Amino acid sequence: MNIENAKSQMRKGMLEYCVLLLLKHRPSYATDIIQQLKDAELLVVEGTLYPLLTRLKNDGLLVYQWQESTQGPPRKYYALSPEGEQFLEGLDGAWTELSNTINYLKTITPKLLEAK
Amino acid sequence: MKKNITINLCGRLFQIDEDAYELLQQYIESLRSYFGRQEGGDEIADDIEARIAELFYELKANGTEAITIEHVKDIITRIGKPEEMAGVSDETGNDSQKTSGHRYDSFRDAAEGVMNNVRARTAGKRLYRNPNDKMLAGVMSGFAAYTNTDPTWWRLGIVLLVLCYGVGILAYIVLAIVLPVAKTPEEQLQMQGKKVTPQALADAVIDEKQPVRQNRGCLGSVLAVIASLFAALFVGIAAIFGFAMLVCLFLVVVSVIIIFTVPGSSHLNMPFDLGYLHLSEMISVQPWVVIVFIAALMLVFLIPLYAVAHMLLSKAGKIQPMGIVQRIFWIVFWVVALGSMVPSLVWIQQNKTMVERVETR
Repeated sequence: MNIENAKSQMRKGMLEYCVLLLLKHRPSYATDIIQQLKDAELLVVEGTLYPLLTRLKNDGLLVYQWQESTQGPPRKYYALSPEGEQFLEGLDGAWTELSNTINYLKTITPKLLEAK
Repeated sequence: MKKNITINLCGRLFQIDEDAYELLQQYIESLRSYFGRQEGGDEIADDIEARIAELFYELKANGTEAITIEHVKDIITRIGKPEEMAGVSDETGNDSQKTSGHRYDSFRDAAEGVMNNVRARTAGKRLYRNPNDKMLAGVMSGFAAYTNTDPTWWRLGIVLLVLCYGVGILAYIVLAIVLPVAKTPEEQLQMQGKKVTPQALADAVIDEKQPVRQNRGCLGSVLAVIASLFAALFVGIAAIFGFAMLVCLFLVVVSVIIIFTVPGSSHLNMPFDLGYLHLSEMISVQPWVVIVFIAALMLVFLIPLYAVAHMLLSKAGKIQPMGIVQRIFWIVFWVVALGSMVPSLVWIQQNKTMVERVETR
């Protein structure tokens, strides 16, 4: 298994959580989200985001509103629904656990294992 | 120059080149057919369409008057092919399937590969010249794509044919003139015997961006040297041939001018001695035959001269090479010119005794 593949699997797993985090404080439309995810190198092709947004919306985690734009076509502004906020809290908990575990595993030294 | 259309994308109007429009349409269709299978698929495709509209709007705002095929290709690479953007949930589903049925999958892949190979060798293919992997005009590479074999063997074959009294050279030139180049993505797919589907087209367009591999091995590089020698030889011969045509044309024009301006010039002491035909006397007897003869004679030299000049200029990249219709037109035109020159010459030969008799009397 090559490293790029492993990395992209990791990013894919994170993508959903990242999108929800981005939408936590302010509603955004797809291009905003794309820009931020690209800056964080979480997105390879832009198209990945659209199936994800639609799925989250159909699962009731996101809601959207149409807004007219002076620059281009009307935009769909996505925001978290109450269910989405709950879901995000759940993910937050899972993430904290996960990052604790990872941090722990990274700090493990042979000595520590022997001590057990 | 390209034909331009106005399209309405998400309620905004855009000017777009015709070829760019076709590519965009294929791309959007491929998205729709891909996402159509899953829940909310139309909505996903609509959203992506809106994104395309937004990117077009940006281009427009930056001063792009008409969207070209290059713009559309960039946008496709940016947004990605449908299978690249597959949903996260799909991925995990596929993974579990793969681990459980791994042996079966690899067997099926192999079987599919064999089937594709067989289909590609037989099914609705067309013979083209291959512009992506060529040494001269891409004829042998086109044959290789047609039969799904290695072009090196075809090249070796034609070199052997050239050794048979140069049969190969003539065959190659005829094929290079007759066979069209696979220019568009559709034609390139047909050349390889792949089905022309929107998905395959979008793939072909995106793959076009990647450079063609150039490692040909030892035998291949020997063939490449031979090919470039032939190319140089061909250009040299064409240039000499063109120059000869130019000289002939010049001589015809000069002798015609002398015949009709200097009275009684029956022997001109020139390589193109038209004096013996008594054209200036014949024109009063049968004006049309003489005019047809002179015009046809000039065209017989002028057309090859034009063709050679056109070829050399297009090789130098100054002008576009001739299309197939143009080529056929000029070949037919040349045959017609030759076909009217010869009978009129024969007629004049037979009837000049008439005016000669008049002269001696």
